Amino acid sequence: MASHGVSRVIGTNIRSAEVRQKEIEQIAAYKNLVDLVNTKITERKYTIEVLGLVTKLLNENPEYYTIWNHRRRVLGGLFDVPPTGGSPTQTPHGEELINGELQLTFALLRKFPKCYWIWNHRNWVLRKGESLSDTEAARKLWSGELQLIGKMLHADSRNFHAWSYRREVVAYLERTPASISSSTSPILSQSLAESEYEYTTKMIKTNLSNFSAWHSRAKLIPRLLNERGADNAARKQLLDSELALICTAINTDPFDQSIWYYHQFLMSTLSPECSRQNQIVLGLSNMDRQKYYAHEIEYIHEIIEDEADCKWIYVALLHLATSYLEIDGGTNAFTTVDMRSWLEQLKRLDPLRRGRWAELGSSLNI
Amino acid sequence: MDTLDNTEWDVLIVGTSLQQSLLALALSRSGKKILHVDENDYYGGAEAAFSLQEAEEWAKRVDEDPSAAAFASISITKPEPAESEPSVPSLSFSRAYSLALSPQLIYARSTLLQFLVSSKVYRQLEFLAVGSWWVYSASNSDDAEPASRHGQLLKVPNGREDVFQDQVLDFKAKRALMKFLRFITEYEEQTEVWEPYRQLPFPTFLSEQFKVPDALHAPLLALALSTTSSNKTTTEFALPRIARHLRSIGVFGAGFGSVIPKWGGMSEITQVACRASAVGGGVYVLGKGLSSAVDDDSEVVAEPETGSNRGIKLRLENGEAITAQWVIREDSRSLPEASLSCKSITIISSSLAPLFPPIAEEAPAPACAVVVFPSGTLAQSEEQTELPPVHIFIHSSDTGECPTGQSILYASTSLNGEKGFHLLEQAVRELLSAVEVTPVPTALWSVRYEQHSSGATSPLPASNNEHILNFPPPSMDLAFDDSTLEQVREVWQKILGDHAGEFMVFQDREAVADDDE
Repeated sequence: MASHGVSRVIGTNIRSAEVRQKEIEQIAAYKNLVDLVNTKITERKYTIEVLGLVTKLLNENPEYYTIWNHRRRVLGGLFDVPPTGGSPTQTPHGEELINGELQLTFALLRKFPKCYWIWNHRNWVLRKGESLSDTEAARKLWSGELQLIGKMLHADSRNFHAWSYRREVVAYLERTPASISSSTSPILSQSLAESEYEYTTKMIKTNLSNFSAWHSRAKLIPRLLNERGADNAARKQLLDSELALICTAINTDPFDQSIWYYHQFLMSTLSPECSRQNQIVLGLSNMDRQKYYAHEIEYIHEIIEDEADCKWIYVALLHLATSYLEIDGGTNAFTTVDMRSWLEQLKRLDPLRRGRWAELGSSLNI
Repeated sequence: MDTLDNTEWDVLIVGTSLQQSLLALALSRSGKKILHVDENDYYGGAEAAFSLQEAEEWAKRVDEDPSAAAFASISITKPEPAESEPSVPSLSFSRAYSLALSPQLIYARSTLLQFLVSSKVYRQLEFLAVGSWWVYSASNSDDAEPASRHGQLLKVPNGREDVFQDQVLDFKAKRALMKFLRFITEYEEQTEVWEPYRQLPFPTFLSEQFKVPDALHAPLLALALSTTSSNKTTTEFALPRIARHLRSIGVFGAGFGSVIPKWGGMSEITQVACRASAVGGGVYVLGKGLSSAVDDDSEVVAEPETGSNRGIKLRLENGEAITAQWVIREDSRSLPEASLSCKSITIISSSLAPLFPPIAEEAPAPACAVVVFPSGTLAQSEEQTELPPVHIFIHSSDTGECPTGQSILYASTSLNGEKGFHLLEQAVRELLSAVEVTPVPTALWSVRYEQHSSGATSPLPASNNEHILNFPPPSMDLAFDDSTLEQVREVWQKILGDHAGEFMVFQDREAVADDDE
């Protein structure tokens, strides 16, 4: 995605008198529109015409979140309009409105894929659609959403709005039964945790620098273990394979921050302070923990001989050393001298944060 | 027009090879009176594409008149069809094939693509993605006889995620490779790292500066598409080319960085360019060449009264006399043998699918695979380790160059003569035995030839007459070399002078609905 890691630069082009004049006119027109919409809303004119005005305004400025609130007021009013003698549920009027909203948000999302309010509104629209129609139609809507979000993540796999939305879509699909085949054997709601877990694997293989994918993965693991009914052996296996995965990733690109975040997550599951539901392997003894920490320290330390200037390595080593010491590990895996030298490296590589490193040093008594 | 005798032209272009055709395209809106001739009865010259029959005729022609041709030693082999099962493809009819003399790949940021778009001819062309790159690794078994040793094809990593997923490399190798990949994305700003190694062999630079293990030298060199042996390839040469390769990935879509034209390599581009020139008023005559080499001090006929320059007087093969203000042709002076390289085109009875894995999700299906045999991997004895590499481009039937179920191997090496041909045959054999396909793929038809080519960036060959301009012989570079276009621009600029306008930027002739916007 072209925009990641690139700072936004506001063009400072000199505008001609003509262009300035045109802009002044545009601003005036915009302000008039805003005033008009606000007036209509105050007057509670929840009509199709006002909806049109709101659409026009939102097309110009989707970031104006109050107008989205207004839109929902108008829509609420339109949904309430009794249709000319039809059943209240699944009114063509209602469905038409829903589809219109889906189209609008889709078009806007293509231009503004990171605008919170558009995602919010789409979510609201789908929930509204869900409440207005039967389960099957609702499920169809949400399944369509899963496809859509797949496409959006394909276009930009690091859009956290899209990932968050994906989790909501998945959550909806999970709480709704698949189909009403027969009343004698109701289909239980199904979990999508396995397929979502595989999806994060796929996204990571496409691009390692995907904070959202790693984050989703972290969120899925506890659920996955529960659903699999994993015994401690299976849990250990999962932890070991995740550790191996992140070890390979760190060895491939120690400069990538998102990889280290996931590493930190895995380390946190080993900590004695980790809550029961977040633990991967249960009933770890301090000896077990020591072994894990020592192994991590060992391979991460090895990387220094090739990449002596990677600050994340030293940060990780100091964290691991801290954890190790907290479980009374002693100084088998490393010494205080080592820790001091890692801290020195941090001060050298990241001088802008020297206050932080100084504090870290004093809290570790080195 | 019935006869060209006594006609006058602003520009005479001789030969419809790529550069001449692109020049014709560049001049197509200039209003100049252009006559574009080619002694062959087909378009494309050295970049043409042939059906089987056309290839046979070409072989015969060159055989009969070897003097001025850019090609030599053409021979065609048609193995006897073995008792084949009905499922095994056999050689199809002649027109089912369109064999490209110039199967170059075009990198995504090449100016050629930009000009094809700005000149609006891109709509008549289709481009296909170049997929995986493979490096041949000779087998290590010491006990087997050289003749029965078979190597394997290893996929070249395209970037970080490929390195991450690789199962063969150990951590140290991955780290070294990644360090180099990180360096090359901004190598221009780190000249202190490679400046001392400029003229030194690239493998030396890799080992000394990045501790890249020997086993990884070949894949990295492969990305440079160097035609010389690895210890003759300088750091100066390799770095920008590898950088170009890596920076091109993702420009058109995830996972690939270069494309090939559909239907027969560069020939399609020559045809589209000539067509555009014809639409602009250019006159095209195939099957007519110049009668004899135009001397640089040809008659420049001057008008007696006005003294204005009536142009250069020439005769065509059939005796017709024409005059032209400008004459553009390819330099056909006898070239040194050192510029000869060996090439072959082989039709294979299989689609070689394992070499065309999908590029990425929702990426276009690859139509070309690149296989590199690094120098020394085909050596059969110690003294042969200095042999140059062999490059094979495999084109799938998606290119339209062969029927479905078959594929085409375009092989080349900078060695000439029997040694060169032998090397090519070896490479083809090794490739076919390294691919795991059943039934075992075989060659259905092949042609081999030697071709004169110019080095990477040759200047325009000199000429004594300012108005006679020559293009050099085609480059032997396996990737399209943008400097080729610079030469076309130079000639175009000379012809049009100050009224040139923008090179290759045209408006649509009539309103065209842009379906793909």
